[in-house]
Amino acid sequence: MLVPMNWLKEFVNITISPEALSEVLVSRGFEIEGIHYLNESIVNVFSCKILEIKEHPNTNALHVCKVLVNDNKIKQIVTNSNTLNVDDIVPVALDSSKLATGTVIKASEIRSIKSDGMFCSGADLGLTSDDYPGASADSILKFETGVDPGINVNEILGLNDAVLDIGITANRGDANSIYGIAREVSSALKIDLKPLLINYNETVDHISNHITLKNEEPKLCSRYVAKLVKNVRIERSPRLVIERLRAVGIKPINNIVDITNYILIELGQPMHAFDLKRVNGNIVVRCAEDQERIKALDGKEYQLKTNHLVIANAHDPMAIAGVMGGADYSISNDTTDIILESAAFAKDSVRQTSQDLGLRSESSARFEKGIDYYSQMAGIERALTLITGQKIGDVAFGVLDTQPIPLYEREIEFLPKTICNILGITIPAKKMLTILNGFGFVQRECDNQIFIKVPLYRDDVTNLHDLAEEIIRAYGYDKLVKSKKLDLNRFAVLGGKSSEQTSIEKIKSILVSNGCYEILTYSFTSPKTFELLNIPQDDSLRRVIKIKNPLGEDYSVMRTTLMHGMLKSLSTNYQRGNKAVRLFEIAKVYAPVDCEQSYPIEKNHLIIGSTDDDFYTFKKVLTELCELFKFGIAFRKANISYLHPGRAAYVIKEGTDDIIGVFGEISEDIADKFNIAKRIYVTEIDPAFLIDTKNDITYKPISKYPAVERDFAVVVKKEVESKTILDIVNASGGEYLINTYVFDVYTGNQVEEGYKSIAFNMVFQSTTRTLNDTEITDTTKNILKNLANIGAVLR
Amino acid sequence: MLKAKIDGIQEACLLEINNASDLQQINAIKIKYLGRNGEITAVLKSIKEASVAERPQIGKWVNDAQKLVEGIIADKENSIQEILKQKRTEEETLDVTLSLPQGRSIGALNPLTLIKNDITDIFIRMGFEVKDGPEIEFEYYNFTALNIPKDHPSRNNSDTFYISDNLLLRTQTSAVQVHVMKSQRPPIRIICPGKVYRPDDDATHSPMFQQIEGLVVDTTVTLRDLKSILEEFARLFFSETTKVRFRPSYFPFTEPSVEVDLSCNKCGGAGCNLCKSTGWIELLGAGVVHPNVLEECGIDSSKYKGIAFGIGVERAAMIKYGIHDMRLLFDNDIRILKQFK
Repeated sequence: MLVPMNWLKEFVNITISPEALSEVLVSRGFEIEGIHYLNESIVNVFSCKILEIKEHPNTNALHVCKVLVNDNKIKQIVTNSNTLNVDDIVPVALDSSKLATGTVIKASEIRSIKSDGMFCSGADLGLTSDDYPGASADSILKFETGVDPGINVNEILGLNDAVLDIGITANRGDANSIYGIAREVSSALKIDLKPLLINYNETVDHISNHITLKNEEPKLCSRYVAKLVKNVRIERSPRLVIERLRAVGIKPINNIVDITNYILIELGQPMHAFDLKRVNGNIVVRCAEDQERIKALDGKEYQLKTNHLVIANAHDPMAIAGVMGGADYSISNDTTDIILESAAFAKDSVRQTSQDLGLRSESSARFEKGIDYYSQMAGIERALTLITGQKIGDVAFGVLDTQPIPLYEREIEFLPKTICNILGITIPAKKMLTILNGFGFVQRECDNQIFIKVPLYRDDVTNLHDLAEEIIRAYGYDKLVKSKKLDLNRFAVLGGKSSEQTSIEKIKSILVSNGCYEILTYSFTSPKTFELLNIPQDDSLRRVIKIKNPLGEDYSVMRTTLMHGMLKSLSTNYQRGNKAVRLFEIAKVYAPVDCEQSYPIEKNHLIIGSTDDDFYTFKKVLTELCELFKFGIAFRKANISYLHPGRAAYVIKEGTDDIIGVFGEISEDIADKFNIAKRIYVTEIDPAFLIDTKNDITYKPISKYPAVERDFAVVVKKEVESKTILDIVNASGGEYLINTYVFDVYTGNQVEEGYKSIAFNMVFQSTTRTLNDTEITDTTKNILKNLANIGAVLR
Repeated sequence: MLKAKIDGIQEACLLEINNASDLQQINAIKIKYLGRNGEITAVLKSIKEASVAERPQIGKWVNDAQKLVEGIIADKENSIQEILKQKRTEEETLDVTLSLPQGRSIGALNPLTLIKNDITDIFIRMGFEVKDGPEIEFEYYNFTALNIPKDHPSRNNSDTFYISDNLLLRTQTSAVQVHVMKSQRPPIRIICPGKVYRPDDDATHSPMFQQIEGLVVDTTVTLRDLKSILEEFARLFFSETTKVRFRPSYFPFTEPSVEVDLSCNKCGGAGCNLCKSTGWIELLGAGVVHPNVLEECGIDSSKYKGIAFGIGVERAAMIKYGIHDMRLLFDNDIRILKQFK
């Protein structure tokens, strides 16, 4: 909300600076988004009187003028304007001046003739003809009669003012106006609030001779007030109105529209003016008929629904209530008589209508925040006061008023002890009452009880908590002094993290130790990612939760895999020269459920991605992580749409068929799509398996007896996996085989085409005795016999 | 006679030992004098040619010579070993300032994780329990139960991502409060860190960001307690001298509601570009839980009071690390991530 100081001063006599006022407002719960000094955009530009106009000696395209800036200063200005006459009063930008366009003007020589500055057009001063009569972009602005030379244009244009940009919280619709802020300032600074000036005359002609009013929707329109003004002269508003509207960023249009906007800003009461001719005898507040259409003032046609409130005549909607007037019913150049509307429309109704139609206005914004209960009549009377003051119309006698449900001031029982218990400090009851009185709250005493009457404009105040806030914001938050010792132990509460949270932190720190960086990517993604990853049409990954109002298609579905975010991050890094990285992310993936009343599925996934590994080194990252959780995993060759067909695996929970994730190398064509010319390894798993693992450690005694090692190499068909070999070795290795692993796989000259050699090591050990050679040889014979069953031959 | 021979051998041996300069030579000397066919051994073998009466005397001479030689050889060996060790050590001396050019180093947590951990750890020290909740939430938990009226602007499409009419991406971790209060009796002291979503995207807003919600429900808990807790937090998170300022504000679920400013940790309150010359940085919103919220969750508001606060993790990170554009926190460039080891 923009609040010009001068406008504010009309209602409360402030003498402090805008900065000081800002601090007061901040301490009262308002945010100050900025202080704008209107005179900062135009500097060193003055009115001047033209004394003499001569041809430029060196060109007939230019003129040399002598101008009077004030009594002492005569300046010489070179201009190309042909529209100037002696005695015109025009703006002149002197040396080192600044124009509204940001241009800096210096004194200079133009074709060998000295020029002390430049005459300004309307556009140079940020003016159009709506802002100042005759202002335009291509000719020098001439000031209206009565403007003296030597006056700073900021003064002439009413720009010697500061405007506060005040943020108003959603509960304080009552403060969303100049008068509302004035009321707050008055209470804070203990300066009297001036009453609104109401002064207008009425003719004998009665409004009811011309129109009738019917409110069919009292719930959506709690009050509708209409007044008739006849013989209206539509013209430009007086300077003060134009200046004030400009200061708050509203474009002046004509005197009547400007008055409705003026009241909107001054009192927060949106108003509208209808052309009496068009109203044609009846005003009906009703809901729209289905698919009823209206052309609004923005020139667009809107199709309405039955929950949209309209202001209609006997046949057609004339305005979308609280949102925008209809183009065909509002005032135009041939308007002579107008109906002024000042109404209260329900917040949610206006919000819904505005949202459905995608149409917002100053008016709808006010109604959505809620307006004062009593401002309809005040608003219309202020408008009539301005009309009378400007002598632009005759106010007809009488008012059409839907007779609002009478409103009573809410009362809250005053319980000072409870208030102190909310705040945690002791404030004398008397002090509290003084503060409340300052905000316009008064007390009523009755049988030793005190009741606080809440002013009607404060419908946000409903209970003692609200009163506590009013009191503390005046009393001062700095009075809430920290307790000497933070007493959190009145009740023992056990703090800490859940085992899941702790486990996730453990996973992260293990990965960090392993050289991985934690990334963070958006939970929503593009539905196109599935094409990008070649995900089959019937894959469950494509069952997504869609966002109804996304920030664009790229963020329109909740992700079902972290793969895309990982590849994008690897790609970003790769493109920027970080070509060897290990990244990870733990974040949720989401899936819909059929029942609307249930929560969708959301669960954590862990993804690790690398451009700095080969298959087996990368595998170690995952296996070591699982090892630290005592969670055994195995790998099973798999077909995964985005992975290299020969280098893809499911990660399996050891000893089961439970798939906990995927592992492998990104296929070449997908790596190409992400512009990465390197092998990319990824694994995405469900970390719940790790988290759920019971990590109960029981000590096992270590053996005192020597271990015996044996190495064997067997030749098998190329497609035989090492796991098959090791499984056989383990199964037939007897009780003393404590470890076995593959240490070499060889294909080449020494091995027949289509075969490979797998070399493995075995460690035998007993915890009770030294093993002898014969029993180990017997065991290894047995192992080799079993290996022979799958065609493995000792090399 | 024999004595002179022994002395001669001994003398020759000692001379050779003295002249020896490496272990091979010493070995050769050992073999030459003390080996199976060594000269001293030979004298000892010849002892049987002597008379029985002479034998002990000769034996003693030989033994003495042998011991002496052995001792001196051992000494010489030691001194050679020592020289070799010194030489080796010298040769093995490294340029300790040299480092491996490349190779994988330790990784790093995301700065937002670091901040989240810092903040949660501080509150855990104050006895808070860390709670999680769903990110896809019913409008009831995100709005209605939190006393947010049907016509409140925060429910607009422009402020909330909707999945369906009553399902949405939570806009605040306050939703977790409701779940906890409905399932747990007071006293309650929880914090709820998590991702939240709002349709904003610019230098100071991200459509996905993280909040940490705090809630205390107890028989006596006051606005002043809230300030004390947050002062404690400010002190531990920023510095001993960080001050806390309350400003009135409005949130439907708290009353009184406050915006909480911390004295600027960069300039100490003197005014700088981080605090826009105000000396204060807005960090979080807080307040006394609205009695309607307690009642909605089945907690008797005449018996219990609540205080609540919500901290923006990104904002805290930006302040603490001097980051001006929130989008950098989602950039994932390891040159950024590396800085937060």
